[in-house]
Amino acid sequence: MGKISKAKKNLHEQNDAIHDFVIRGPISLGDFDASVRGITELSCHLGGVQRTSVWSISEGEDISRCLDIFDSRLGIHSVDAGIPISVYSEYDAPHRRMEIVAVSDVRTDPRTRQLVDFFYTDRGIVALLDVPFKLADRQRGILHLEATDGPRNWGPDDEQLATVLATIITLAWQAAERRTAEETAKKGEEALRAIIDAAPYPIAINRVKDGTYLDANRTILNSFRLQERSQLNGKHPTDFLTVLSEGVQEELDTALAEGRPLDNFQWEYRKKNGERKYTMLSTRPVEYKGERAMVSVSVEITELKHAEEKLKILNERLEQKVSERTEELALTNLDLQSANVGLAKAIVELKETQEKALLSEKMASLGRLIAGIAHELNTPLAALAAVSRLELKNLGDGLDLIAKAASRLTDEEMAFIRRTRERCAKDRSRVFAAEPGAERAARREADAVLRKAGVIDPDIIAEDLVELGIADLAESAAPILSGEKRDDFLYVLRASIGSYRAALIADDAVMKAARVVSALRTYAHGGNDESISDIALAPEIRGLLELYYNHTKRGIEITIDIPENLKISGKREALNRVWFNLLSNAIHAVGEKGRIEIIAAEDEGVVRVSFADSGSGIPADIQGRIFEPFFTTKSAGEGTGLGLDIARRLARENGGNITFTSRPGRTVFTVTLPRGSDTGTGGNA
Amino acid sequence: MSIDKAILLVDDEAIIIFALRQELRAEIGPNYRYEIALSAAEGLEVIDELSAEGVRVILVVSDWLMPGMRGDEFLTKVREMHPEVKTIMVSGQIDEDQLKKLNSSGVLDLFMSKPWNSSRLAKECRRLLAEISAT
Repeated sequence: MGKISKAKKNLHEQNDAIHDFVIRGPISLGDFDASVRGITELSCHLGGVQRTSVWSISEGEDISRCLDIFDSRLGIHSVDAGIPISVYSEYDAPHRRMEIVAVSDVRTDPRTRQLVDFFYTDRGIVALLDVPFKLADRQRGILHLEATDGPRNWGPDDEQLATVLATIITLAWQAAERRTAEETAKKGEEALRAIIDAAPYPIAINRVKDGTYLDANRTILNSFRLQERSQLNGKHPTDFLTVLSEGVQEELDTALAEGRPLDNFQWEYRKKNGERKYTMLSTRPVEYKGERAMVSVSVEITELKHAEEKLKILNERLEQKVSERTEELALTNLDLQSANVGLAKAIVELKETQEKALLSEKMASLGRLIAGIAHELNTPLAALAAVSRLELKNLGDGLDLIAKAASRLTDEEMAFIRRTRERCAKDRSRVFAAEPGAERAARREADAVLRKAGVIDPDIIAEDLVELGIADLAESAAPILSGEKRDDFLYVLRASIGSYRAALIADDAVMKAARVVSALRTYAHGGNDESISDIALAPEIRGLLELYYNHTKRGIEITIDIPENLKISGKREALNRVWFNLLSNAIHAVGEKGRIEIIAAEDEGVVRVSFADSGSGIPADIQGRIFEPFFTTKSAGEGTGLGLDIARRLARENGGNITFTSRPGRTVFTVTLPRGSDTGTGGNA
Repeated sequence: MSIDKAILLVDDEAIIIFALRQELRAEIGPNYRYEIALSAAEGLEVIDELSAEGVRVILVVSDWLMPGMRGDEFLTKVREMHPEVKTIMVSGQIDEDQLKKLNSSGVLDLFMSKPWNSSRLAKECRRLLAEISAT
């Protein structure tokens, strides 16, 4: 075989060996240590050297570490101790420049001389060929082909081979690094998977393309009651759940289709088993297994949502309650308002009632007053009517008849008639002194006298004299009456004395009527003028009694003890009603017989007017009630029960008051009133 | 012959009694004693005394409102003792209810208000007296 063909053959062999190593060797497995060991062996074999070693250099470290040494003579791998680089700086310098260092004899080459004793001699190294190997443009180490069989002249083939071998180291390194990276990635993925699976939150990865699942964690599988992840293949979330919240499905779909991340997106869905769940979802776009996808993490917030809803319901209820309560309050307010209106109305009505009561009491008082006035006026009117009829009769008989009869009488007889008339004029009281007992006695006497004197019809003549109030004159008249001029005498006597008496009665009746009218005027004065004035008390009370004249004759003794100059200040009509009321009550209390005292006196600017009666007194148990409106002890129809209430109110309106004390036999009502301003200046109104 | 029949006039107002007596005597005539009383109590006394004298009261004319006993009570008493006595009430003021009660009680033959109608009073008196004479 020629040298060239041998070289060709060697080259072929070399190529096959390297190819075989790279393809089938440990490089593909990423096993760097095994790869380095294979390379040292291959280097010895192909380079024809006894020893090959690989050393690594780490950046920034002053040490070169031995990765492997193969001794082809012994067929063993070993590892040398690390060498500080600074020890062989001259040797290292070309390495740093990434140069191939070919040393035919270490003992003579200046680059290696300093290492001969230190390193080569011990190891029997004579020649060496160093090729640095690099990775990512940085020197990572050196492949040393070492000959121990003597100096060697390294040719280009050797250098080329060494360079190829060094490159293979780089490949192995890369492969190892890749594998480490892959393994790290795998471990990381596994860790991630573990984390994802262990996470209690549903985590899923869905395709952007169609939303189907690419992956999902255990929690999701459990939630969908799936055993295997593969059961999710080709499935869409909607195959397992129905989105409930309105518009949510669209939102999820669009976000997914746009690859737009979502944050804390809340939505509700219903699972196939009917369970309703609330979820808060966040998504991020990822690329997963070569596809665009969205990874989503959810947190179930059903409880939270329920709590929230409960809270919301509670809140709504609260609001409802508040609004109901507000409404109730408004209604209550309305009720109150209407009650208020009702109350106001009631007050108005009460006031009206009070006014009506006041009016009715006023009318009752007025009624009693009118009854009294009617009686007091009808009496003199009746008398007047009767006597005027008598006068008419006398006049009707004709004055000429009287004159004729008179002309037949002697002067003496006429003088008797004149004297009798004069006596009537002189002593009016005699005319009205109605003493039935005395009259009967006088009649009897007259009858006897006339009878004795032989007067015809003595009883009738006696009656005539009684009627004329001159029965006591029977004796002196008897001579005339027994004579023949008896009829003329009687005629003129009756005409004269009878007319005179009639006139006196008329006069008395008119005076009586005038007194009633005057009293009435006094009583009613101020009816139109209710201003406060000074009022002389004594005339007021006297006027009042005038109106009550008929009562005072009924066995009731009324005494007045009021200073003539005493004046009170007040409203006249109002106070007259007070007096009237108290006097009425006193008269009612006294009944048939008794005493009433009306006493007034001034004391430090206050006038006390007391009506004291001798009645049976006010029973203790009703003393507290007598001022109550409508309280009355009188029988129905007799009193309104308002008199005292009104009297006291009127007294109070006049700046005074009414008080009382009562025991059997003496009840005193006392009216206190302000003194009149000019009291004591003398005189009376 | 002495007058043995009496007409009793009862009123607390003297002028009424005198005016009434003058008028009645002129109208009815002098054949009666015209007795007067200023109160019911006095009237009862007069009736008793006249009875003792043998004079019979045949007609009583009485007021209603008088001190002490009122006219209605008085006439009731008179009727109790002397059922045949005629009764007339002349009043200036009487309660309507009281009058109704009185009219229905039968103790009253006639009521007249003051001032009275003279001719009617005279006519009624004569009628009542005629009734007495008839019995």
